[in-house]
Amino acid sequence: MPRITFKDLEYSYVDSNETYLALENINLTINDGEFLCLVGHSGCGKSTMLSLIAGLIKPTKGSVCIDDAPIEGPGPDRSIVFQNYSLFSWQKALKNVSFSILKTHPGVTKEQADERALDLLDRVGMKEAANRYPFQLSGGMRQRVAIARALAVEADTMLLDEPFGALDPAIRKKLQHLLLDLWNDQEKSCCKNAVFVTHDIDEALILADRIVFMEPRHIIRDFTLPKRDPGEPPEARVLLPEMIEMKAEILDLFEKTDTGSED
Amino acid sequence: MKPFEKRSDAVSSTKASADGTIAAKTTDARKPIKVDRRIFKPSFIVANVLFLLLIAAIIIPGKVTFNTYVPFIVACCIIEALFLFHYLKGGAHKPATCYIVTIVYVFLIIWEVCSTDLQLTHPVLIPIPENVFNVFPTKTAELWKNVSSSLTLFCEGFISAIVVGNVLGLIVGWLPKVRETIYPVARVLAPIPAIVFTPYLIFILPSFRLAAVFVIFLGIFWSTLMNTITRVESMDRRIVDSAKMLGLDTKTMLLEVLVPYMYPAIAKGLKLQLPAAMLIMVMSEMYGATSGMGYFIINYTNYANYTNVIAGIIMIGVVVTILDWLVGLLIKKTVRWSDQ
Repeated sequence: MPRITFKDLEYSYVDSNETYLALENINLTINDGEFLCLVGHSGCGKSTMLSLIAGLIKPTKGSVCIDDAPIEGPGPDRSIVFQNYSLFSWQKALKNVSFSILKTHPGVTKEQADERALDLLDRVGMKEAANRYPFQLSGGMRQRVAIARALAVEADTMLLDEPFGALDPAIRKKLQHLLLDLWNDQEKSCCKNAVFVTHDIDEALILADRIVFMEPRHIIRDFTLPKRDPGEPPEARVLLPEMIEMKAEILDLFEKTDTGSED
Repeated sequence: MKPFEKRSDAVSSTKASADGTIAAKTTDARKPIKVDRRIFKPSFIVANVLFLLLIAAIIIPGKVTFNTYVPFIVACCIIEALFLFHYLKGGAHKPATCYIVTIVYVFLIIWEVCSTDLQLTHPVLIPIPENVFNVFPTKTAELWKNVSSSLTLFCEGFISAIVVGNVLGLIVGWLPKVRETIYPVARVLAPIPAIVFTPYLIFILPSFRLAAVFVIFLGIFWSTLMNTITRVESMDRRIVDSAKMLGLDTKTMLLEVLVPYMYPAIAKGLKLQLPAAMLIMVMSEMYGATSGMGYFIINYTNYANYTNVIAGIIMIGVVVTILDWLVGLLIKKTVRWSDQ
């Protein structure tokens, strides 16, 4: 059962001989079974947090641990969905998914992997597109395949870096619902917890169990959202009085932390 | 045709799904604008009238005597046949097809009329087309020997450079420390024209063949290496990161992610490097070879036999075109996907 902990974490990177501090004094525990949304302005370090959990980068100081073991590097116990263009363009949709299965499940035959991949594509509503290359798919379809590919790994933690950021509102909503359905379907759901990066407040309010608000380099607020009733449509919870209050507070934070440097 | 079929198939079912608007729109934009569907367009008629004029100009006796005009007519007929084939296969909707052939026919008519009928040109420096094209049937064995010698040389140098350049490029590009060492060195060495090594390499290497292969190798190797290193380095991080998350080892990463990712660029690179390699080869053959197309040309230039020289030049053109067409075919058959 994973529990991700950031302890006194600092991260800085070097770009053309200058050192930039991206994160400092980060202390955060992501509990088991939690859908956590990292919210903040672009450039505040949300994606950096995600890369640290993914193990794609290493902290400069402090540590990130999963179940008290420091993260050594990327591995199949975590899976990731990026904003766009991260599917393998030389593989058809089915192969994109089955490749992930084959590489993370030694001993699985090609036929078994294909069967499972088709099943996953079916779950994200992409069964018909199994034999198409990514360039033949629209942005929304690609992200559906990317989610299927991330599920294929059967990782405990799913990391999502603004996965719906490039999509138009209607498709975005559809995919949010899809993601929630997958998440709520605990029996079939592969991941135990999810970290979702977004700068869209409404998206965070619909999806999250917990919202962590970041200003550049720091975490400044931590909100716990009321429990979701699986029987109700996801939008129902957003209308609760405490949620409306929370939204106002987050909007306020957005305004306060606006440095005016964003595009 | 296959990719197109797939695309339209993709779109028809895309329309059914709710988030297919983007793909559907792109295809609408792809719908051809109204085209002239007549088979025989004015430009086609002009080109064919010129063809008949050319044949007439060849057959009508001029002031210069020569052996036979049959090979020249055969060559013209081959051009016409290729044109008709291309035109009827779909080139009909590309007006450029007719324009290109028109230019070729006009050029041949001017050459023919000026050299044989009007005798306006210098008889030695500008040989008559009948004699030039007669070289092909009379010197077939000699030409073939030189072409095959050149092609072997070419394949050895070109293929080895492409293979070594890409394999090293992938490895060097993937390992940051190696890349930081090799890349600056490559940047210094790559711009030196390979051809300048030829005389020296002929001295130090045991045979001319080896020297020529090595020169072609050098000419192609550096640019291939540099291109591949840059492409690997500038590869989309999200693709690399997605692959890394699967916990792949370096071998799988190189063979199953980098190679397929790079393949279209590598294949398209072949088309660009082919003419460069051909140039280096012909030039190196002009130095010290005893066979090859470059040798054929330089040898007859020394004897002032310009009829053979021009035939040799035409031969090189034909060979390069065929090679280019083959590479194009390889790309069309093997590159099935494009970048997103």
